[in-house]
Amino acid sequence: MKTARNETVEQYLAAVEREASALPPERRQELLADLAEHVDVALAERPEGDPAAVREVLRELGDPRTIAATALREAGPHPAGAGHPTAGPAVPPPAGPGYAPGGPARRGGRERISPWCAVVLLAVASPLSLVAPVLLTGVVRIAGVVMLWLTPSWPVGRRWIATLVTVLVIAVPNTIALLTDVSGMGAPGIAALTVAQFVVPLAVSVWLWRTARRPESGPAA
Amino acid sequence: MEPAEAGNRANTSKAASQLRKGVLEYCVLALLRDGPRYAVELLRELDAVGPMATSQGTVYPLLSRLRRDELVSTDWQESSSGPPRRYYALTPTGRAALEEFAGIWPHFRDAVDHFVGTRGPSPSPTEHEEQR
Repeated sequence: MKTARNETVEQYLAAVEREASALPPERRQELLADLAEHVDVALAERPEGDPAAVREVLRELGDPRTIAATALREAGPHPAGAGHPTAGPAVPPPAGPGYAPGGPARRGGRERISPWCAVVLLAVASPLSLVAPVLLTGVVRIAGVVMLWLTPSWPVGRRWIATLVTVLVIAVPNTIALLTDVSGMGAPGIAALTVAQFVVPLAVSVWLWRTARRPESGPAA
Repeated sequence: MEPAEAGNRANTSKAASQLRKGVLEYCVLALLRDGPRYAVELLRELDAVGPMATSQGTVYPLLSRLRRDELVSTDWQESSSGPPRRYYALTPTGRAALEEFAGIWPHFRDAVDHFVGTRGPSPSPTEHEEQR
């Protein structure tokens, strides 16, 4: 009798655990401990030898999905997004991995970093240089390269190419400016360099975006 | 009476569930006003009052948050029957939260009554009263 009771209860708790998989592990364990404790106490307070007791107690506890959904709502500061783990990948976040709700990111680590982040950072760096201080532009560019290497969406060779191009886009025009008399280049030369500075990084970003392997079911390539 | 009510619980209306979400924690705090209780006891009390009845398991995430926010404290106590019970008690913070809610609630209730009009269908109450 004891084993039969345990089996049904275990199945129920396993269902809750499954449904609550997006919860942080310690929250999930806490919830399971609370529910197990409830079952023990509730059963102890029922007349002994009632064959329907376990079923009754579990029925009153309710649907594991409802409990898990409530727990997710209570747990996160982003109640709407965190409630449905399956909704995450379907809606691509506007930028970056930091946006991903806690649960999935914790499980997958880098596997879940979206290629968005590196692509966007690398793409905006040059336009940003028109309006923002040099230092900020530099930080954005470096962050883009760092994200590029943290994101598993590209083979190493492609990451090297993107990194090299990003460095050259800065280095080449500045070197030319240092070594030669820019005024001597004439307007067409300067224009060509400027255009290259904007077009090349953008082209690299587009290329990265189109060739990225998406984590799980990302937006269509 | 109880089994029939339990059957309806699953499909209580959205409005009821929204309202419950907002006030349930204060009802739990209020149940602790006169002294510590253990969870199964709390749930029994909630179940006994129709609109607060909910699938019992959903109250545990709420209790967990109340513990985390230190609105309640817990303490294990041996029981004469079965396993030890975990007793929940109000902390000073919890009591303050409850008092605050208790202060706001009457205005809230009156305001909702004012807009929703809970006096039932009476076609033109003002006219009738003014005639007298």
